[in-house]
Amino acid sequence: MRIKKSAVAGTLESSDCMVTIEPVEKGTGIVFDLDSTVIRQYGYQIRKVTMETLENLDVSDIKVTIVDKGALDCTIKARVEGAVYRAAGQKQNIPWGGMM
Amino acid sequence: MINPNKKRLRRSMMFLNAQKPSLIKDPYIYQPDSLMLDLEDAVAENQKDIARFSLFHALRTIDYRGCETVVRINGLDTDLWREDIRCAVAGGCDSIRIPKTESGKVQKVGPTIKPLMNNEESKLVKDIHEALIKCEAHDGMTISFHHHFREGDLIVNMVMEEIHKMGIKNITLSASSLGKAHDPLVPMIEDGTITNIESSGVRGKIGEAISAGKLKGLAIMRSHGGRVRAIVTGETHVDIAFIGTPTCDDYGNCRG
Repeated sequence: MRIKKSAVAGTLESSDCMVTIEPVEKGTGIVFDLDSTVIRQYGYQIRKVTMETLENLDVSDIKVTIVDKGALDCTIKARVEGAVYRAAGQKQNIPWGGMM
Repeated sequence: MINPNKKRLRRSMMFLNAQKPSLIKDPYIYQPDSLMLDLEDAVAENQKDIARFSLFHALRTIDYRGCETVVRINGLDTDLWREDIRCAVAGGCDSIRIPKTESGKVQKVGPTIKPLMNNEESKLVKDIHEALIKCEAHDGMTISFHHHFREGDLIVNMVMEEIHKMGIKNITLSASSLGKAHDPLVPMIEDGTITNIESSGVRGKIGEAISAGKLKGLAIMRSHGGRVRAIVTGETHVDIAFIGTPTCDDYGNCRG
């Protein structure tokens, strides 16, 4: 999927996370930046979930910034996907259950 | 697919904003009968797209421990509801709730019936013929029977015979059910007195006549509830109703 613009999804409420996606120069790959209240306990897990989600969506060359307030895996997935689809400018005909 | 839990008890419904992870991650601890995951009013207009992702993954991942998951989609007057349904179905919710269903399409058009007491006057007439004339029976009317006496019934036959004798054509016969007792109606179907039949089912000779293509118009079969609904929504307009009742006062109040 092609990222056209930067986009944000999520809030800074407890159990939620805010995901910011920005396009970067081609060939850079995925730049990951995480700030979490539980980074010592779940930092690697959050990174793993994010990377898997991005791989499923077939996205590369982006900068992902996550500010996490203790979100569950399904929330992180939802926010990353939400931000990616926003950044790609797609609001309808989302392949539910297909790429997700 | 038929949902075996369609008519389950729904005493308590917990409404949750599908956009807030803190709400949708563990509401089953309160054990309500239904969990209503809301995509409509609870979600801000500019967060509708993000809320769907949150809903989809919650439905897919979180074990709601037997609580029924209902998704309230956006109103049918918006351009959001189609995607809402796609998302809710793919996520695997138990039920979908459509908001603001009081639009014109489902509005009640049938009259509200109230009793009218009058001990001074009588509406009794000497026979069915006179009743039909007073009701101004004419071609193309919808004649309803509810509820007659099933396989022991003579009301439908007596009334239809009188209509036949008067030479009225193109009648839509709307009866709660038609059985073997109504076999004498077949010649009336053949000669065009009855051209449409609405019922819950037909048996005997009438069924055979319909199968043989003798009915000129349509034969519409509805459930008994569907029949009531068709009248309420105006799909069926009853011109004259004939009712078999054990007791009735002179003014027509069947309060048996």
